[in-house]
Amino acid sequence: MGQQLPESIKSVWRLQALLNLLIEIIITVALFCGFYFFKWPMWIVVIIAVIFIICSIGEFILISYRYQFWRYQISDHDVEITTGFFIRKTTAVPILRIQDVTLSAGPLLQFKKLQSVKIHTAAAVHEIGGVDHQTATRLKTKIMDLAKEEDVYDS
Amino acid sequence: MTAKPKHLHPAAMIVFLIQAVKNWWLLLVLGIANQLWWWLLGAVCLELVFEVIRYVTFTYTIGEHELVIKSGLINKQQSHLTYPKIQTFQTKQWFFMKPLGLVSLKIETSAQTNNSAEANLPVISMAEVEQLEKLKQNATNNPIISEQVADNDEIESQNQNENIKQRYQIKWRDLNLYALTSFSIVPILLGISVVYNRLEDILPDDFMANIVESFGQQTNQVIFWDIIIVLLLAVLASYCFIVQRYYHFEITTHGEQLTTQKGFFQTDRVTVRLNRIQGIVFVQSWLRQLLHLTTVQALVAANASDNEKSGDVTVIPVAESKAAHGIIQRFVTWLPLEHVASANWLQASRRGKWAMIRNVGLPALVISIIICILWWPYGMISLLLLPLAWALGSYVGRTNGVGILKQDMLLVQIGHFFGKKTYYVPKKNIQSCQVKQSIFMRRTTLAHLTIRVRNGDVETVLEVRYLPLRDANKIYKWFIG
Repeated sequence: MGQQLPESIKSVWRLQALLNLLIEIIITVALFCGFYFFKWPMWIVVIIAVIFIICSIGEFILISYRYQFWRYQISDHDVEITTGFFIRKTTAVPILRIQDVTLSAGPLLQFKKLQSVKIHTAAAVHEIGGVDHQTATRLKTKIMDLAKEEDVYDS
Repeated sequence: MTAKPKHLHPAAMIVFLIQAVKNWWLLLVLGIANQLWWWLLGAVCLELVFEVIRYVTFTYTIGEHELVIKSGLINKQQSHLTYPKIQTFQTKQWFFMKPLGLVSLKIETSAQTNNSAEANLPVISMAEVEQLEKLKQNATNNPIISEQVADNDEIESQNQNENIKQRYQIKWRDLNLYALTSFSIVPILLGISVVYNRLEDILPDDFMANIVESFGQQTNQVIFWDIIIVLLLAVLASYCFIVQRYYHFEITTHGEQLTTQKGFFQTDRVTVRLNRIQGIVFVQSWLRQLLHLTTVQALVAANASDNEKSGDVTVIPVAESKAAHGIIQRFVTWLPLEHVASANWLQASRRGKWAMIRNVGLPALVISIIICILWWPYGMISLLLLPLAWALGSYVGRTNGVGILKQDMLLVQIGHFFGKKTYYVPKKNIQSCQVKQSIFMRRTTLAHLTIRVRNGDVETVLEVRYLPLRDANKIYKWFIG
């Protein structure tokens, strides 16, 4: 069911994971310096380093799963988003409940010419991880058109 | 109608002073205890200068189309509010303001602000509040012809009197029941301990030492009785606090507006538009459930409650469970007249109920095993946790449920510590619906169903756990269909 995110989102996620890894390496090095100069106990550094390594490996492995199981579907009445394999979540947001739509792109997404779509309802925010400009604009126009037709709350 | 900028009533100075004392009481006590009279005098003078500046620079204008508030000397602020956008009026009236006919008013619009009111008029007259309310009602009823407002004043006021459709005032007996069955003794005890800790820091050491010494000379029995007396005093204080807070609780509807009013020393009044009510909750703690009593709250999509984080507005502090539906239905007409068991009431399957018992039981088991090992043999008492955990889990399993009422309303019931909350939410107020299933639940075909509703400036998440996937999907289909 539904539409997949564009293939290029995978490389964005990979870059993201790489950046996280870089940050984790810096923290580990800093901790190691702390161990060296201030006589912190070594086992703390080791434990944290192991946790970081496991997290990174997990992140890289899970990218293709994440891609495989992230679907979205936009019909005339609602937006449906399905994510996750280990914990599968299916969310439906009726278009009439959508208050506004935010299109945003950090440097990584911009590099791959993608935009993340955040859907704000009166209660919460739901995100479609990254879609190309065309889809993002289409979604935005569609929601705006529907919102114009019906005033959800009078004033 | 005046369009000239006005200053607040001079009594505002007293309100400012009360606020200042509230903010700085700790320093004040500290100063007095350490007898720093000159410092205190200096601080009070400085504070007074600030008050006067604040008073002089604060002006407001009730215009025909908007309310303008100017404030600040160095950092000047000017806020404009148009009447149709106003969502709630909230007034507070201290007892000394009553004879002067003054109130302090907070106005909220639907804009998302950081939990602070859009406009805060600390002291204005009742007449002006009524004028503002009237302007607002006119603005919503006929946005274009607001120029006739001035002429229509008289007719409008007549209309308003006719519009009082429904009224409910709490009975003295119910108020007593409410105060006796609430658990606010716990926060009061916490408060006492906090105050005690602070006193220890503030009061001179020898004073504290004297008290401790005089305690030390008492026998155990006397200390025991002292503790009992402190507890009783706390209960009495909490009882009095609640009674004064909900004293003369009253709700009325004026056309499209719902107004609640309460309080003895400080009369709180909140006016909300009926169409901002997102859902109605019937809340029962375990004690009230035993006594067949229910509290009714409304989830309001506007910042309207005392607790600024949520929009829970208490509509009926306490009523007999049987009568509660009848009372509330007069105000919120879309509610059913009595608790109807939905034709298809969906609950956790037998497996799901077991999962809930397991989720509470396992942590309890781990905790009690650890306690047993650490404090052998008295730790054995902690094994009593296990039947309690079992009872909790099975209670939640029996209580939780979800059902569709009349095609356009959802009934969600969630159990919590032998109490329960029953939500009635119209479909149009449900913001999103989510079905969640972990990989382990796929084998047992169970799923969690999550419903999100707006409440105040935040969301309320209703999660019905461990439904059969088929049933969860039934609700999901109903929602998107």
